[in-house]
Amino acid sequence: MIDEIMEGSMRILYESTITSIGSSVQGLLDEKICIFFAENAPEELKEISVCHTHEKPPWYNFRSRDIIRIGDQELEILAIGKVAMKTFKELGHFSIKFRQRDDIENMLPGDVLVEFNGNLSLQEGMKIQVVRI
Amino acid sequence: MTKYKTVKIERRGAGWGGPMYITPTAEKPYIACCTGLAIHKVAKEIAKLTGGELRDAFRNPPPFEQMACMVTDCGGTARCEMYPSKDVPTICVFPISPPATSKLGDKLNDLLITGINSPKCVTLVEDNE
Repeated sequence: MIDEIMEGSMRILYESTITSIGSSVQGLLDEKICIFFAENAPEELKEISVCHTHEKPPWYNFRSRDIIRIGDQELEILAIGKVAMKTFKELGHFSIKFRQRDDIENMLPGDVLVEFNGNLSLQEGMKIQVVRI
Repeated sequence: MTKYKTVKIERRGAGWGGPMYITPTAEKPYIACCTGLAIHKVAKEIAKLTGGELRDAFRNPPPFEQMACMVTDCGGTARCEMYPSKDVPTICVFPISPPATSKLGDKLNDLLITGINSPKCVTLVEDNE
C-alpha cells in the first residue's frame, strides 16, 4: 500500500536501459566508482563504462535527494558536481562515486556522489530511472 | 605533404599541469575532441594552427596511436585517466586536478593539462629554420 502511494507522488525525471557493461566496470565498482556513457560511446570508453540507451536527455537537472534506480536498487544522490549535468545531457555520461569513498569536499566537478550500501549489481537490459519523490 | 606546426598550450588561470607542446605528424595527424555535442573551440584552434585534422572522438574516433592530442571536457574521472593511459596527450577544458588516486602518477605530468578553456591558451611556436 505504501509503495503505491509513493509511486503515485513520484516524478520520473529520466529513463533509459543498460545496453552493455564494460570489462573494467567491476574493477571500478570495487573502488566505489561507476561510470556511465551513452551506448554510442567509442569502444575505449565502453570498456570502462556501463552503457545505456540515453534516448532523451532529462527534463530537469537532477539534485540532491533524487534517486537513481538501477533495476530495483536505489541510489540516493547526495551531491552533483558542477559539470555533471552538462556531460550527462550531451553524452549520457555520469561518474557515480559511492559515499564510502569520497566526501563532498573532495568531489570532482563531474562526480555524482551517492549513498548506497551493498554491492551494486548490473545487468544488460536493466532499467535506469532517476526519480524525484 | 602537409607540413605541421607546433603549438604551445598553457593555462591562463586555474587548472593543472603544462605547458604542453603539440606537433601533429603524418603518423599522428588527428586533433581529437571528445566534448559533447560540439567540437570545442580549443580543439579548433589547435587544428587551425598546427595543420592537424579535427576529429570528433565520440562519434568518429581515430585510433589512439593516430591522435596528436585529445581535447576533452572530463569532469575528472573517466576521460582524464583513460586517454593519458593510452599515451595520448590530453587537454581538459575544465580546471580539474587529477584525482589523488590516479594510478598513472608521474605519467600525467607529461600527458595531462587542464583548465584550457580558451583559444588564447594555444599559441603557435615559430620554428627557427
